[in-house]
Amino acid sequence: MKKKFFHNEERTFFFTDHAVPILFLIIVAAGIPLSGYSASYLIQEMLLRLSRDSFLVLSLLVPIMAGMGLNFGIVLGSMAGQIGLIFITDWGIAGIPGLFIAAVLGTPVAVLLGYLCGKVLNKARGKEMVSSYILGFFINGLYQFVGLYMMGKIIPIIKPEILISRGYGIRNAVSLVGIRGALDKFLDLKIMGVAIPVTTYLVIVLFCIFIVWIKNTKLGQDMRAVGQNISVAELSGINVNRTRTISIIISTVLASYGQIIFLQNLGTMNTYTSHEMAGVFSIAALLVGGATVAKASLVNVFLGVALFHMLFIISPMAGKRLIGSAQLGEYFRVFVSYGVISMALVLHAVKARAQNARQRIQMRTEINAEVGEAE
Amino acid sequence: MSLKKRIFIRIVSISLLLLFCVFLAYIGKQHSLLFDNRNKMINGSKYEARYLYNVSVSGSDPELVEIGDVIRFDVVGPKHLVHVQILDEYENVLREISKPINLFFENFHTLYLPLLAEGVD
Repeated sequence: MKKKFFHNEERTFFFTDHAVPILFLIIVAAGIPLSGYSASYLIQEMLLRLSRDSFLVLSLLVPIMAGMGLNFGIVLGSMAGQIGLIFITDWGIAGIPGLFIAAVLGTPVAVLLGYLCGKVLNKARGKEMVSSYILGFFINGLYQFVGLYMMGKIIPIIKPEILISRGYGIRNAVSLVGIRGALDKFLDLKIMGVAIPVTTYLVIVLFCIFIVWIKNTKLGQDMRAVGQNISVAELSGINVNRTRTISIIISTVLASYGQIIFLQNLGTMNTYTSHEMAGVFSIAALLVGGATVAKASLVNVFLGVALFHMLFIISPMAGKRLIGSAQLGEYFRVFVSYGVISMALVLHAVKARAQNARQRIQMRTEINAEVGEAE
Repeated sequence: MSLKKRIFIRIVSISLLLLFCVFLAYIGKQHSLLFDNRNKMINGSKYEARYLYNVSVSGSDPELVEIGDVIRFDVVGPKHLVHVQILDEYENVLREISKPINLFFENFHTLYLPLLAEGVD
């Protein structure tokens, strides 16, 4: 007898579990012919955007593993990376050396901010996402204070062209011309007219290996145990707070590297706004890939970045062709993408509630059965 | 591993990383090379800007420096070869000079072309 690919129940679960990526796939599939872009253009754009954003999104995986949800605190890491970039721009260090030094300068700042974030999130157990989101705003205030007041006044800045005309404070837009495409073009492969930033992908592959490796270490096992059940992890002797703090530190440090990779691709930095969207965009991409607050994998990362950014590419042109206005297409993208993300979060909450209810019923049935047996 | 040994290894690792960063800063430093074709007075001697110059740095496209002009080349790294063609007023090549230059951590380095033409360092 032929074996069925899906049983009815399995099929229902498959579609409810993967509702968001399936919905996005349908929207993208409908939008591609409407946009009228050629396949080579779409592939080129996709490869570029995957190389630009994947690292930032990957940095979200570690806290999810530790049960801390989606870490909006990667904004803190982004700020740390940007501080490194400001310094190398000021010192005039270009290319790969510049990127490396920016990462080295950003690391201690990211560790410090990650530690702070971890401590705060340990105090706000169960409300990690909203806490890290608000913490991002708080640290953004400090970052602005450092960038607008301290740099050039207390922290010496040599190049007047990156300072505001009053003599202190970093300009809103800083040109990263020295490091523009430094990593992407270091080893550039062209296949059928499509440029592939090989070095950036190698770095991303290294990161993926790191994620797989850390899962199998003692720390990774601890993180998974904490992620599954804090009380059980505590009872089994795991230092829960320390494990959670370390996971946030790792995420923040990696986010700072991710932001450096992101900005070297763009070649320009909006000092006070570039980091703000890092968290929201990365989390949106991850959710679009089918991840949830409690579970995410490497596949979710790449699928999410590809789908989320495909919508970015096609929506203005599809909107222009469909409605006659690129701006409306962009509004449509914002509406659809964030609507779908909200739906993902709501679905997750509903599913979690349903699962809890199922567990409660199951427990009650088991207890009743045991009581019945005892009687 | 004892605490002392651990601290020692950490300090050595950080020091090595910092040293590596200094090396990277040295090889990745951007410099602005200024080519000055104006009259220059040094130790009471006056060097007049009498020629035009075609200047190229490390194989870049040559740029013409007219009398009274200062042009700028942005370069990365410590070692460069400056190639200068000395031209007459009709832009005929009179002489060619190649000069290797080593840069350290300075942002700007000025080469006075009248002095270069006279062979003064």
